Amino acid sequence: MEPLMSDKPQGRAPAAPEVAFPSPGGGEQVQGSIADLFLAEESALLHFAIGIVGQRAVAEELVQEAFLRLHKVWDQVENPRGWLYRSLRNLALNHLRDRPREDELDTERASADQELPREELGRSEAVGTVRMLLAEMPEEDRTLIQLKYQEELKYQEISRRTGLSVGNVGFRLHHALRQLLDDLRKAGIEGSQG
Amino acid sequence: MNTNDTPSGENAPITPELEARVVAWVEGEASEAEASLLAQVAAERPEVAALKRRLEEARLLISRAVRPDGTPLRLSEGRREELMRALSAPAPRAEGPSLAAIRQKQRRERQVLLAAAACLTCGVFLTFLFRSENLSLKDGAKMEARAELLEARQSVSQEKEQVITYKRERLSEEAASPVAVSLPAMPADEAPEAEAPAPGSVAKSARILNTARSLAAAPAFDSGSLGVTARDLPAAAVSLSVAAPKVVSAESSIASFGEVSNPIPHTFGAYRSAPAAADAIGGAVLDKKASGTGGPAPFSAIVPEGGTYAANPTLAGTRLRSDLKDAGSSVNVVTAQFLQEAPPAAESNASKDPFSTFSLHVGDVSFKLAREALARGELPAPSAVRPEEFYNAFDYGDPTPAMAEKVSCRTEQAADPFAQQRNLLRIAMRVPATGRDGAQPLRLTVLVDTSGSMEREDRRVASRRAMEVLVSLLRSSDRITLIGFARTPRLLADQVPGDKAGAVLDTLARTPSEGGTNLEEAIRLAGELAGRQFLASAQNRVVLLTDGVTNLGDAVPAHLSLMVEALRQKGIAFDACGIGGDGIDDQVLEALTRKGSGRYYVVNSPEDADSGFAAQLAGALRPAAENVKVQVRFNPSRVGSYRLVGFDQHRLATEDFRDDAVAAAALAAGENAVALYEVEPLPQGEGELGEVFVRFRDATTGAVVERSWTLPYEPAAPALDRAAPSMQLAGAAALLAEKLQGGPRSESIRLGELAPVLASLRNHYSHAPRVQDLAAMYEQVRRIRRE
Repeated sequence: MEPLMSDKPQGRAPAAPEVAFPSPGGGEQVQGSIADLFLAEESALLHFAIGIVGQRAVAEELVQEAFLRLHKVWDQVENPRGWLYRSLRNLALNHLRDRPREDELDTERASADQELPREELGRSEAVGTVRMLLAEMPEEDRTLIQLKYQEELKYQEISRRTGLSVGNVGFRLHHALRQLLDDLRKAGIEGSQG
Repeated sequence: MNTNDTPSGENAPITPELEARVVAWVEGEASEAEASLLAQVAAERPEVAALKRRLEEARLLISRAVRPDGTPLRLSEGRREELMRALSAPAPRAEGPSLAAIRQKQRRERQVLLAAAACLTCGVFLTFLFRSENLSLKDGAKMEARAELLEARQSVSQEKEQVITYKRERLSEEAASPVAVSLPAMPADEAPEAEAPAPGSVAKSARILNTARSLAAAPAFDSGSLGVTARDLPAAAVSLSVAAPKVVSAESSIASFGEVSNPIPHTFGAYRSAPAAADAIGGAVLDKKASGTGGPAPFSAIVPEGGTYAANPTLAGTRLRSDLKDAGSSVNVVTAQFLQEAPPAAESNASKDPFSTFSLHVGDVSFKLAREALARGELPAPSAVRPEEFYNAFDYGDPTPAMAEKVSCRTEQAADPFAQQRNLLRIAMRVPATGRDGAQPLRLTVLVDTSGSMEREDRRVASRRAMEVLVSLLRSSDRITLIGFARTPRLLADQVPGDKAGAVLDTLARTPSEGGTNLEEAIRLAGELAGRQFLASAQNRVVLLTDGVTNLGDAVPAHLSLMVEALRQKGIAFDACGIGGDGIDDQVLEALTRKGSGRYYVVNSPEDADSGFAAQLAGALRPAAENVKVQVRFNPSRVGSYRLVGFDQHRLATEDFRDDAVAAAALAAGENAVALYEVEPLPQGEGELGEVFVRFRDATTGAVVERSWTLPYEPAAPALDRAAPSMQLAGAAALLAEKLQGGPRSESIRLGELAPVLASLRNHYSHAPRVQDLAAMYEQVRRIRRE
């Protein structure tokens, strides 16, 4: 409620160092090279892939494959992060399709080996899917979501930073959230545990 | 809140309105009262509770997703090095795409070609139909044909909508099908085919799609000049829908690339054509009226169920647009631009800048909104606090001038309690009590929000009362056009004479409510219709009644203001009336009415509509003084510095004062307008403080009037708590506002020290409810801020 003009944005700055690098699943378009994108997303993508296939080694292979594929079309892709998440997900799902049943025992064993309980995997998949959907969202909506959930600002403050009215911030967030809920449901993810 | 007659169960539908409120609740943006109300609703309706649960889960997921993972993972060292090496090398494009990729590409190209061919065929077919029909049309049939055309066109546009819906469904399927695979029990052959997007063909298919779209759109819009019977259009629609799936297949192939492509460019074209269509159809309706029964038709189209009304054509544009927005491509790209709001001004140096010029734009909305917020136990948003609307919320009992005098001015001073060597200077202007005698007719275009939120009983009654007040002010020479708007605007009554306007109220009462609030489309239509009934010798005004937040279409205040500005330049003023203080979008409404003679009111309750609003509206509709500007010239040898309190959005350049082309505010008959300055008088200086000029157009005679008065130097200005009650009142209201507004000034204002002033005011104005409200607000602010 203390509306000191224009020096508030810096007031929140201490959080910035974490955010400075493109944050997992959201953030500004990566301006840099594919190597930068790799460093930024390596961990998040690995978590996502493990969440789907359940095996660390397979996940690593898939992440590597996704990056190699992206590398080939780097110049032609508009939204590399969205592309990466989507194609990693497809690769992972294809992997499950191509190697169904016989691996199932392995999967069980592998996840047991690494002490990754089922719900943990489900959550990794769910979080990864949300990151994918965020990366594919229109820029403005993603910005709003970040201001709201990462910086945890009130609508009032978001309004001040973006120039949208408070009502409009509420409306856009509502619809971005609505869309996300729908998309998650379509992706087979219900609830925070996946 | 009809919670009883809705179906229950977790999957029962929830209105977007309620959903929005639940979202705000989950986000912690709801007030306490709202939160407890919603908690009650959730307890009664399982579907609301389920929604809340899902939202909370989504919240949790998003919060995790936007933060780094707890345990960062890395590829194994060997793999990592290998990959980094590969990534830093140039892309191995020479190898060419794999066989599978080529096959995929060919398949896609075939689809695109097919789609293009289908669309071309369809376009040619339609054109052919129209032309042949045109040849056989008799003149007599044309009229009927036009009317039917409206319906038919609607169905065509709905067809377009289906294309889009269909596209969305396909998108969803695309998104959904891979999931099936992730469940072990599902058969393997439903797996996704496209594992890696091939972006090369995106641009191409988008282009073709664009062509397809415009082909589909073209016949519907062009046919206006041809005159078609409706009989053929369904056929056209059918052929369109046959074409649709193919269009979609092209489109969904874009979508399957992981939605890499951006569909904005082609949809934009489709949207743009909507206003043109609106024009064409508007024309058709007018024709119909002219060649109709011949007698005067007071209502052109009233019943929305009829499905044929002038406002309908905008439907295509709006729906198209909002669907696309849902689809994830926001057509109205909102650049994060900050509101161009002037920060509270600092002191000016009288020797450098002796002139202070502003438009005397007075109102009381900010005061009322703050009063509502404080009554709920919240501090008002600082951006919604405008000091001039605080100290202009009161009747100071300043003397009313005689008719011949045109305007009176009274000044008062007191020592500023919180700033060294500063005096508060109140300058009060008033115009004669009887303005013009109604010789000038009114051309009103009223925009009434019919969105679902207006269903709330208190708002419904308040808005109905406000409309009744408005209608009661009309005379037979006046004309009123009524537009209801929610998701789309609808013409409810067209140019009804003032003495028959009672029927308009019934029409409004019968109009069903809808979801959404698309102010942009509404203003567009209002501008069009106001332009149609424009009369140079009349007061031409658009009045907007709304309770809420505009949420469809372009909702950036600056953009909407531009539309209003364009109206104003055509001589059409724009007023806004917020219904129910808690949900209104103050920023938007204030911005829309900021310029020119626009007025901004809020009606919190039906009683409010009767008291303040009626007088305000009557005054606004028949102003006594227009283009009212004030200029103060400070005497640098007596004044060191000065600061105008408030009016931040209404300042003018010095030279604008005598430039009558620069529009400014209007004053109603008998209206009191106050400006408050903080002035630094120099005790060693010489002469008066300065001079105040006022310039306006007398609405009775049309003549421009300019007057000036001397601002005397008072060497011994009294302390605020010993000044005249009117000075105390203005001072207390302004200081409270500046405290709430924040900013550099607020730090120096110690509310505790104002207690004697408030006590004296409460005593002196014991019969003025507003002043008692001010005292209560003061107490509440102290409580909340613990001062």
